[in-house]
Amino acid sequence: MEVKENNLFSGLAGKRLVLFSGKGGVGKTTVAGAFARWAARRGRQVMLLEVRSRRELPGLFGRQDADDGPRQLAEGISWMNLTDRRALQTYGMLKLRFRAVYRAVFEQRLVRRFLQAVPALSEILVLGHLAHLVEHQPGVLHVVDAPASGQGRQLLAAPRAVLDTVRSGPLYESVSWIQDLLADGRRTAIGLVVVGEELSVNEALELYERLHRQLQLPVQALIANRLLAHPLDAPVRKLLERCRLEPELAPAVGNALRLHERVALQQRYLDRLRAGVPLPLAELFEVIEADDAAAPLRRLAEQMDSAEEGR
Amino acid sequence: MNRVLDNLCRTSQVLFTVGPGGVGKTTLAAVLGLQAALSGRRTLVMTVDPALRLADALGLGKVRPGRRVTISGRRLERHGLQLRAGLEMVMLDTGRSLAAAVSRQVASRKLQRRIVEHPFFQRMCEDLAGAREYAAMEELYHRLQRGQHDLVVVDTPPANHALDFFDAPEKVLQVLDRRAWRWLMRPALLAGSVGRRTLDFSSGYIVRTLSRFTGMKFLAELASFVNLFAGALEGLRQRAEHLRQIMRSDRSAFVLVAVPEHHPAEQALRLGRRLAAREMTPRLLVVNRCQPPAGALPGSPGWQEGLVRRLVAEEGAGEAAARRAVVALERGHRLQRRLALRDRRRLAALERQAEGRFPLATVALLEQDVHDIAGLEQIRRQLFAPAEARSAPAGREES
Repeated sequence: MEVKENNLFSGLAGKRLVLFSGKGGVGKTTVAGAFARWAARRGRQVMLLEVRSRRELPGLFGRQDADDGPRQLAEGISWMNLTDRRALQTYGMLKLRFRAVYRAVFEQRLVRRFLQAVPALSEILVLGHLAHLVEHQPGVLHVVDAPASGQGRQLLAAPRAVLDTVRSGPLYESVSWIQDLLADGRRTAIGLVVVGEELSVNEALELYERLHRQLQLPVQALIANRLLAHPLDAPVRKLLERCRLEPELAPAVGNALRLHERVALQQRYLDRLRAGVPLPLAELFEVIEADDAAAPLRRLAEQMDSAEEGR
Repeated sequence: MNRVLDNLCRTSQVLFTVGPGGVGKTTLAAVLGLQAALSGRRTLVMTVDPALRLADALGLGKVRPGRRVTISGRRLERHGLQLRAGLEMVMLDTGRSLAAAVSRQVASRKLQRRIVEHPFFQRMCEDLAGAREYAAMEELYHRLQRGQHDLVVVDTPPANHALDFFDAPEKVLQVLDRRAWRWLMRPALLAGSVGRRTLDFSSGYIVRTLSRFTGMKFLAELASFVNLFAGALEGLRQRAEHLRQIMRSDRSAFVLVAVPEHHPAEQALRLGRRLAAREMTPRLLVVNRCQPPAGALPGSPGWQEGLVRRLVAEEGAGEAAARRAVVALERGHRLQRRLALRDRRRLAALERQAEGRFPLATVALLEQDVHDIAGLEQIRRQLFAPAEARSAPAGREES
C-alpha cells in the first residue's frame, strides 16, 4: 500500500519491513513499539527488532527480563535484539552451512578481531540476518528500531558501500540480495522520526538527503513525535501580553506565552521539514503522565488510531 | 553557582562530556569551554559528532571538519562577555586525524603515502568500528602534546558508543596487529609484500572459510595494509597507553549529561557506572532541559470574572476574546504544571538511582533552542553565576 498523509500508519503496516530512524532521543523506540502495537491490534503479526541495542522495548511493554529474545511481548508481537554475534551465527551459518566450520573459524578470538576490521561486515551481517527473517516469515511485519542517525546511516549505507567496492563473488551476491530488499519500496519503508527541535529537523533533512537521494532507499514517512498542543490566537496573545505586568497574573501569563512560543517554534521547524522533504507527516503528541511502564506506548498507539481516523 | 563544575573548569586539563544522544552534550561542552576561557584558560572544544552539532550550537553554521575555529572576542562582547583567553573549537575529521597520526609515526614520506592512499585506509576511516573514536583520541593526545591549550573539552559520541570511544585505541590497534595476523596468514606476510599474486593461504583453512564471506581480494587488501601499517603500530600503542593514563588521572574529568526523561536518564546512569568501572568515575551529572515550575494562578476567588471585566473595560477586548484569554491562562498553567511535576518526579527518581555517586546539577529548559552565544550564556549563568547575580535567566523567573 502506498503511504499517504491520511493513511500513513496503515500504509506502513502494509509493508513487510519498516525501519524507524532519526536522531537519538526523539523517541524512535517508543514510536516503533507503539506502531507495532497499533499494527498488531489491526491483525498484523509483528516482529519488533532492536539493533545491537540496550533492549529497551520489553521495558516499554512493561516486561522486566533482559536477554536478547526472541520473545513474545504482547498478543501478536514478538521481539528480538539483533546483535553482531547472533547475526554472525544465523546468517554466517547459513552461508557456511556447518556448525563445526562456524566454530572453528568464527569463534576464534583472532578471527573476531579480524571481523571488526572488515568495513561494513558487521552491518552486512545484521542486515543479512534481518533480510533472512523477512524472507522466511512472509506473513510477518518486521518493525525495526534502527540505530540513531549516524550509526543508522552507516547501517543502511553498508550494502551500497560494499557493492561499490566488491564487484563479484559470494559477498557480492548476498549483499545484492540484501540491497534488493532494502531498496524495494513495495516491501520496505523507512520512517524518519523527528521532534520539533532544530537539531532534530536538521538531522532529518540530512538523513533524507543521504538515504533517499544518494542511496535511493524508500524513505516514505515522517513522524513528528512529542509535540505540545497549546495554540493561542493573535488577539488572545495580545491580551495576555498586556496582563504580564500584573504581578498576580505574571506567572500564569509567563507559562501560557512560553508554551505558546515553544509550540510555535515546533511548528516552524516542522514547516522547514515539510518544505525540504516531500513526504506525508504524522503528528504525535507528548505523553506527559505515565500511570505504568506500558502507558506511553499505549497512548501513542491510540494517537495513531485517531491520526488515521481523524482524516 | 555549581562549585564542582566551576572547579573542574578551573583545574582540569581534559573534560569529557558523556551521555546519551540528544541530551545536550555538545551544548554543555561549549558552555564549559566558554566558562574556562572567561576565567582565563586557553580552551579548545572538540567534538567527534559527525552531525556537526557544535557548529550549530555556536551559531557558526557550516564549518569544515578538521579546521580549528577561533570564537571571536568581539562576538562575545556583544553579550557582555570578556574573554580572558582564547576559545577555539574543532570538529573532528577522521581521515585527516588518522593520516596525521600515521605521519607522526612513520618517518618515510613514501611509506606515509602508501599507507594513507591504501584503499583499506580510506575504508577504515569511514567504516571501521571505533576508527572515528580512535581518531578523536589521537587528536586529543596530539593537542595535549602541543600544549597550546590549558583545557581541552571533548564532546563524546552518544552513550552506547562512548565506551567505544574510550576503548577505541585498543580495538583498532588490535585489529591492525601484525602479530595476530602472522598466525592467520603466515606465508603471505613473511613474503614481505603482499599482493594478490604472492598471497598464498596454504596455512589457511580459516582464511579460505573467511574468504567465502568476503572474497579473496578483500583479504589480500587487508593483509597488505596490516603489513604496511606495522611500523606505525608500536608508537600508536604507546600513545594510546599514555592517553589512557591521562584519562584516569586527576588531569581529566568526566561530566555525565542527561535530560529528565526515563530512558536517557537510565542510559546516563548505566554509562556512569561503566565509566566508574574503568576508573573514570564521572564527577557530576548535569540534568539538562528541566521544566521550570509553573508558579501559581491568582489566589483570589473569582479572578477569572474580574480579569474578563478588566480586559473588556481597560483593553477594549471583546468579551469572547477575553474569555478565551482566561481559558488560555488556565490551560497553560495546567500544562506547565503537569510538565514541571513530571520532571520533578523524574529528577527525584534520578537522584535516588544515582545513590550519591554523582552529584546532580540541573539546567532549566530555555525558551528557545540553544543555537547561539546568547543561549550558551543563559545556560552558563544558570550553572556558574554567583547566587545574587543570577538575575532570572529565562525559564526561571517565577521559581
